[in-house]
Amino acid sequence: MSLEADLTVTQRWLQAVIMAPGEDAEALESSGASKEIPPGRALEIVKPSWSLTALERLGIYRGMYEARMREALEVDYPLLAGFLGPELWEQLVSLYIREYPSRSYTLNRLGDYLPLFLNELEGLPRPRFAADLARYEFALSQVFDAPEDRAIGPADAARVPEDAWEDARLVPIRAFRLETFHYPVSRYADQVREAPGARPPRPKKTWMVVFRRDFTPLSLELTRPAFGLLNRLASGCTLGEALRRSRMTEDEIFRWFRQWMAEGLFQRIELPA
Amino acid sequence: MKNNKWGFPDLGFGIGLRTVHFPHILSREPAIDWFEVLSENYMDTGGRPAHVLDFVAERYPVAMHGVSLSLGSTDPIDFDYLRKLKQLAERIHARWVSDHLCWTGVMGLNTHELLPMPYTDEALAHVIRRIRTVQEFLERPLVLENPSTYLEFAASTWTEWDFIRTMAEEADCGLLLDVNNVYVSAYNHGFDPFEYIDGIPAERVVQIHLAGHTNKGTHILDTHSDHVIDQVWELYRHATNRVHGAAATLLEWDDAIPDFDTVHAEALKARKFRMELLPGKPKAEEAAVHVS
Repeated sequence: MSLEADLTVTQRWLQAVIMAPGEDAEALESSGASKEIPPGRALEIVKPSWSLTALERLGIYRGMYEARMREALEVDYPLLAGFLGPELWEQLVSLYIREYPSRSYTLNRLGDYLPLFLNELEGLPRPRFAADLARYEFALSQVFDAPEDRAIGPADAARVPEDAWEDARLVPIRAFRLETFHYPVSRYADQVREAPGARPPRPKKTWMVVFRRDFTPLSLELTRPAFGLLNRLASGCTLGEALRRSRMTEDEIFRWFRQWMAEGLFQRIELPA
Repeated sequence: MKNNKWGFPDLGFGIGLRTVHFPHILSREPAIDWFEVLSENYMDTGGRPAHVLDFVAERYPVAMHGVSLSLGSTDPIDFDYLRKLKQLAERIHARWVSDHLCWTGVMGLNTHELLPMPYTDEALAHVIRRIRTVQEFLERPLVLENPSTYLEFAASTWTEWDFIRTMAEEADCGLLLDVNNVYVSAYNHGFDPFEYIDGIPAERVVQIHLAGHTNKGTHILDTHSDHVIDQVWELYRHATNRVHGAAATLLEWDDAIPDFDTVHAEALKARKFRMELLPGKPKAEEAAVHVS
């Protein structure tokens, strides 16, 4: 074994011990750790201190690792953590970080797979609601970090010749996500803000745009037809095509467009050359 | 006055830029010498953090401090990360870029813990090689911080301070001397913190960190969650004397963060020690309240 490999083995071993589930002693026997250093020799690698055994010193890093992961995920998923409660949340994080450990230099990406993971997980209370909360909070975190765009306003719209609207395309800001949910998750979020511990709502199909205005992530519930129209526009349909496929009345269309413009959902109007 | 090897300015007494203080900073533009920003928090966002960082960088001197360079790792260097680091440093005119003597993960994983190195010849050669590569890529000297550690490797043949001195001289890098980390590790491993500071090459110290910690009795955790204790202030006094006041001072507070004024007041306690030792140098020489 080369000297460089010694450092490699030491690091692979310590990482495996830190990331292994179970008790500290069990971590030494985990497959990742024992592959690098035989469990019987493991405690020769680390010196005891004046007050702690080698195993206890390893336990400090193990404890800090899980606590840091839990804290980072709780920043992105406060609603989900609150809904599950401390015990279930701790169990969920513990399972999740074994399946999807961080591979990024930033903890901001740690929770990217949590919505997917919840779809695969069995045994959670109200699993559909929990999955909805995760997708809602993930959308909020995505729009939080998205690049900033200047939103267009009525003055920009007024510059478009009347006969050009048919073929115009409205380009959404990049801090923009369209989502559908089985539950009214944003109303639940409002309730929790006012009264922590609020009961989960009844199921209700919900269409929503999640976006950012003045650097604050926001969400707006839509009707199903309004969601369809906005979805078609966001997918690159011309305004004429999107409207032809909409079953909304003229009044409804004007009302929604006024609101979308006020919320700053679009960054540009593209006209054909 | 002696200066550090690269002539990096003594920026004075700063604090870490933290989210909870954003509203205060944006609305008050407080008088403070400088800010340290956590590099990874701003490398991938175009939202509010980026907006606030640009606001701050236009008004105050800023230095970047990273936690994911993973300099000691045996994984290949992540050049995508370095590219973003370099771009950010250029965008905000960072006075210097620092990280830690540690590794955070291998095999493509990141524990996000500042994990200790075995202080061996092999590890030393490995780290020196990596520092040179990083410095060449960044086109600036790297500034490395001594970490708080909670375990020691039986294979170590160097003391931490001898390892750091040799590393810094061979790789020609700067040092960020965290006197709280020295205290924490000294407590945990049973060495003399003053001997440690005396062993650090003073002319390479660009910055000094101060912070609070949590004493568990059997060990200390570097939690950055409290005021700086008297013993750490004594180490600061000793370190300041060694570097002749040529290093900028930064107070870290990352958990249970109080209001801006409380954190800033803690940082300004350092000025008292500086004035006792260096009466002609009461405050930062280059840094003003606002960058012109």
